[in-house]
Amino acid sequence: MEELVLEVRDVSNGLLKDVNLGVEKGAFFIVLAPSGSGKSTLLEFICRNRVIASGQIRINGVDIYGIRNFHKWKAANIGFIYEENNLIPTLNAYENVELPLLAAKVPKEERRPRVLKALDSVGLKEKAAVYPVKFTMEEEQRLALARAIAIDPAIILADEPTGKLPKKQTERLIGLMGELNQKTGIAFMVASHDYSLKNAASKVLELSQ
Amino acid sequence: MHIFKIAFKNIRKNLKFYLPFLLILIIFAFALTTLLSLALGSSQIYKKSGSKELLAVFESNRACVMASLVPEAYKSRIMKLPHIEDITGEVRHIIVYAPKKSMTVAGVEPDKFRAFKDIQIPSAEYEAFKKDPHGVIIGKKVERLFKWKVGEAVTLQRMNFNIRGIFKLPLSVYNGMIVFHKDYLQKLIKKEGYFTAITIKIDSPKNKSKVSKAVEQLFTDHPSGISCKSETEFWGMTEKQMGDFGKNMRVLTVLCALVLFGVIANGAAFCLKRRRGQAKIFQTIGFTRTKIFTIFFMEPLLAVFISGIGGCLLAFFLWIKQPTIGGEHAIIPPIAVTPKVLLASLFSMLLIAVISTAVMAYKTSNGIKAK
Repeated sequence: MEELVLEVRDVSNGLLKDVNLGVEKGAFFIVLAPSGSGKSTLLEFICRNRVIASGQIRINGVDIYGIRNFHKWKAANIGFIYEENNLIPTLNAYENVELPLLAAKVPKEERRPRVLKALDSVGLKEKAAVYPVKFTMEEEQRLALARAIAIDPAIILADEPTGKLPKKQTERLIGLMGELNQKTGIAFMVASHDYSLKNAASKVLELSQ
Repeated sequence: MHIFKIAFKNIRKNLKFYLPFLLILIIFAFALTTLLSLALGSSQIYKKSGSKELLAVFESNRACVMASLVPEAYKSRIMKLPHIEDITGEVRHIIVYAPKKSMTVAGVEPDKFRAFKDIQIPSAEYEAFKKDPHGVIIGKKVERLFKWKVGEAVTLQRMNFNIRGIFKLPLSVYNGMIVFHKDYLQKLIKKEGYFTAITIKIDSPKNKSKVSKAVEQLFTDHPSGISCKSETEFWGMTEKQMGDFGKNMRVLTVLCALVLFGVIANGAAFCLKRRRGQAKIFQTIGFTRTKIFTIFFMEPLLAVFISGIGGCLLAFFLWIKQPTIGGEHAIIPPIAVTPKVLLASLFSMLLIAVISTAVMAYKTSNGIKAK
């Protein structure tokens, strides 16, 4: 059996009852479900933006509800992409990508190469000094992706990352995510209601309402 | 440092939202600095006009201390009491030199005045004053107001006198006074034989209450009673009777601070309301709630600090060429924005900002509270 990067065991709270799942290292995992079925809530539980009533969530074998300095730990281990408004509009692309590295207290001399590498991997290196207001929706999502991979996390959680994108751009973004997943070995867990993404994943979980 | 940078960039990038807020704050900083300089200046000027070591003897139960009448003969009776080192008398009078403009003049004993008040004046000028019975010495403020020169013969409100010297007595109401020989002023105002107050120098400050009591008991036969208090208290009473300018300024300063509190709180709420969504991003990225609070807290605080400095400097440069005599009375202090006032003003603004924005910043960062 492959090593699990994420384990969700008997998690319950409100909408979700006894959720169990496991994501292997380097997997591209997609949770498919219609809107309102609790996908986003599940992701919020995993990054502790919400608190579970019962159950256990482990990342790399560590029970995340037992971690004391969780914020710093999260900054170094979990990347996150929202459907929209992922970025701080008053910071440029470089500074947005640098933020989680600051939160994880990565030394200054290490930050610059990591930010530039992340921007390069999503094709935005040339736009490092540009502010989000000048980006297209797709570029914004790519920048959010760069910010997530810059910290070299154990897992990247993406909550409807293509929800606001047209079909072609959706395909491009999911393709880029798959490519980065292959290249870096970082596990991805994407929550979406778009069933056409089914083929892009190495593993799919379908939730019913 | 990063938090500071993020907060600063937020202000810079949201300048069109912050600009009206910053401009209003600059106006308030200017007003607060001006009011503070008047309030602090006023209390300072009265406090420094009198000495704690000197005792003033004046007529009790007068509506105005300036109207006190103490017979000159009391001087020799007081002198016989123990612990008295020296004694002098002074007569004061208010003259109206222009519509709604008045000032205090004093009649002193030239031989004693310099021993009691540490005035800065060239010796030759003081000697010339002593020799000329119609001579006067004028405070620096009076010189700036009337542009009088030493040696000039002047008529003011039917009073003829010769300018014999210009003195400085920093932070004192005397700076706004014309000082006459007491005999001449008594004659001019028809109060011959009377002082407004007698000033006593005692051998040791510990004998103050003993001497005060002895003086008051000595004149129990006086129809309205005689009070003997420290000169500082005497000037404090004068300040109150001159309309308590300092107190009024202090009340206005507090009112200004209260309005400022509301302005900062509302301004911060307006600017931070637009940024609630960002709190969630910061949290997801891994910033602690304390750090997120600090970012949102720093932002209005930085705005207040920048505009506070702007307003204080505006007050400083605008009042650097301050009017020589402020307000209707010459003894009202000029607007003097000193480094102490600037610091006090900036500190008060920051304190108000800390209190008023902390709640807003807490609410914004708490909008992401775990459910």
